Amino acid sequence: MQADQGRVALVAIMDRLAAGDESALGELYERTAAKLFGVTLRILHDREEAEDVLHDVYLTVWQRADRFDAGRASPITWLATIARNRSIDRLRRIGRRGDDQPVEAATGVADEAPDAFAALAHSEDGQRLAACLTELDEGTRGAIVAAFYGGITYEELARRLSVPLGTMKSRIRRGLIRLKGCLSR
Amino acid sequence: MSDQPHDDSEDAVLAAEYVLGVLDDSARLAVERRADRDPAFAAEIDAWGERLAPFFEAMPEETPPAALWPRIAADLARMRRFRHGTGREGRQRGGRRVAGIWQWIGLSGMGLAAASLGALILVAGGLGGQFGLTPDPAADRGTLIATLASEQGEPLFTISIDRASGTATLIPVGAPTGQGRVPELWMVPPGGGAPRSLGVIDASTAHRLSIVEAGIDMPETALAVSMEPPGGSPTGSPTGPVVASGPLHGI
Repeated sequence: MQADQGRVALVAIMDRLAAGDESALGELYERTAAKLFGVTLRILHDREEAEDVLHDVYLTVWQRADRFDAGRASPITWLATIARNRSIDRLRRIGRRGDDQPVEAATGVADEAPDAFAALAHSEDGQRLAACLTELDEGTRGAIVAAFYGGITYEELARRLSVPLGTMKSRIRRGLIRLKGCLSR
Repeated sequence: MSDQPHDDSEDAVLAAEYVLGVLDDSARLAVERRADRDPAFAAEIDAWGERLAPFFEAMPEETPPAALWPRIAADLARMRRFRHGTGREGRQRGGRRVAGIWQWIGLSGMGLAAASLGALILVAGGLGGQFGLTPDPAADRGTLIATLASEQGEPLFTISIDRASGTATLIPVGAPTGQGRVPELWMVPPGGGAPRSLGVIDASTAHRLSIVEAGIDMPETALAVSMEPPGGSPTGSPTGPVVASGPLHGI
């Protein structure tokens, strides 16, 4: 996700964290907070909630740094994934609290796709992902993009797109399998 | 079914569904637990994470407010003092990818269901001494802290409570099993009063909750986690097995 140099530096920081070096967390924060705040904000659409989740994210990272395996994931992706997962957890908890939230928080399925696509064009990997997504039919592509940005469940997608749950599931599963095939070409 | 995948294993699809975010909460939790125990499955999740990683790049960066890092650093300092205070040095043990306490602990097979809150109340007062931590009300009354461990001594949660704001920061370090039940946090008053609910907690993620319970800073108060039906105990008192407990004390 970023230049190799940055990646190597992050891996070194993660190593220190895993060994219990607390000063490493500050350095990690300096290097990654803006990126991860971008992630929590993008998913939660609420600064206060996004800050709160970001706070939890760094404490989680501190606790779990020893689980990071540089051989399996790039550090920034690993961190962004934690930020996204925690944001999705929070989004769902907020959603359950209020009645108006679920619809609002997930925004329109169709709204997500265009700007997400435009932004993908910035990197080689992004272009490849965009190209592979383009091979899918529009409905599946829109649902996949919306699900990634909104943590929208099958049930919610089916409800909003007015398709049976089973149809929604098989459509997305097929889409994911095709996507994997395309990306591995 | 003709539309089911035949060239990809169910697992691979499940990992993709998890990463995409389309699974509901219970399925997500099940996947996370499985990933903790099953490296091949975890690798599949990581692979999907990398496939979809360009989406992260497409999210614009945003500088968080300057006040956030000091708050995180303060929580970190609390956790550190606590860790030193208990002599718990789990994370140093074995370095990366340690087996120990950071890995999923297979509680399901360990017969945890036996503990009752009645027994817990009896022992709660004695735990402080056992851990060499005599509650000291004079010291930093602003922050209270507890590690909740299973009967086998495995820590499952660390909790730090900021008295001023009434906010508890809860960090799961293991995950209790509960066959469809959810963990609920209880305050156990000293001397064996009825446990009071502090709310249902999330064992999958570090999070904060509001503590409005009076009496939380009484000496020799303990915290406990029991497994309750979704939504919390229907009776207002613990109904399920106690999976973790520990004394609450000032720093």
